[in-house]
Amino acid sequence: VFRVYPAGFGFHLALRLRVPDEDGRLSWALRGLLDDPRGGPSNDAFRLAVAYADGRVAPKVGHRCPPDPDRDLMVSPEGAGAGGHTLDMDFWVYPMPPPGPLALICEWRAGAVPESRVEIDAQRLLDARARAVQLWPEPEDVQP
Amino acid sequence: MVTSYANDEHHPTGRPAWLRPDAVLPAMLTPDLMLAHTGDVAVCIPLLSAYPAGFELELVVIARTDVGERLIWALHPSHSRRPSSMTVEEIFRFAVLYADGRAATNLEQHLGLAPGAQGLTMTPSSSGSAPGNSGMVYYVQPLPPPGPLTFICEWPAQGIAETRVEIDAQRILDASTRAVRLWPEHEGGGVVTSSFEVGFPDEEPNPEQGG
Repeated sequence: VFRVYPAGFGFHLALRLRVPDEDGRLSWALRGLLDDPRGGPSNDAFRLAVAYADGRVAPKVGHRCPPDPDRDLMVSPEGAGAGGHTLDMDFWVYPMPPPGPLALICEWRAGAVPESRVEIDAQRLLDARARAVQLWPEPEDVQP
Repeated sequence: MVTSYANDEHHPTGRPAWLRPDAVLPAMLTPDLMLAHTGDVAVCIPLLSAYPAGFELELVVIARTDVGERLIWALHPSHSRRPSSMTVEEIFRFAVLYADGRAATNLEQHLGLAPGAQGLTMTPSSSGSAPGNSGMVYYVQPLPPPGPLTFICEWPAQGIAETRVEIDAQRILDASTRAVRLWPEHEGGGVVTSSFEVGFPDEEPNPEQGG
């Protein structure tokens, strides 16, 4: 499920292990997703990328500087939770994609997951944007 | 601070039925349910996730202005560390009502406890918050019977009187058949460990900053 806003979208990553995580693989995966400098061996990191049809790619998350929407693609973590078998994480992506395929790419060698790529038609997100509800006027739109 | 409600200890009888199964990929529904929308706050259920024996709902509360930690505590009425200065009117009340009369509320949450005689439970799976925006995810089991499924909320401090919205429970029943069990050994729907973590403020909120 993608959450579509006027200027960007969010998505949820759910990672499930078949057996209990007794060797801390989820912790290292999470640190990899957060680009945590304390991350463990590079092979343990869960790698996630978002690619737009115009060639813009966010190879890792955690960009905190205001991006240039014409040139940059930002994928920011919004929250995460982890348990014995599970890792759940939400991401915010800015700006909206151009028409064409929107690709999500992941790789997690510690989980024996080779580079995997799924694509959806970005037009679905662009169409859904029209259904987002503006709850209140933005502060700058409020009339004195 | 992070509070853990249930640790990763093995449950003697396997994963309790009232906890969300982790070894299932649920079927998603986007009901776009708006429970309340005032000049200051909006309450909605943007997402339902159907599992073989229950469903998960995401409850989102958005405040127009940052009301501080009061919003977090309003959504956790059962938490032992809820500030004593909070009034009853500040508590956000939420309930799920089945067509056969069974009901569960956020005032009587099950955190590792056996369900009551009705057998209907609404257990928090996770929560999250940002300034002016807070969400709760609940796992409700068992699946509802056919008929209207009603969500009810009331929040006196925010001027929200008792409000009800309904959806046809058949939508969840149909979706539950599309849920995918990830591995065959988890036919019970889950693995034998569980955890629920949520961040809470470390200190009691400053009344001057409260909403």
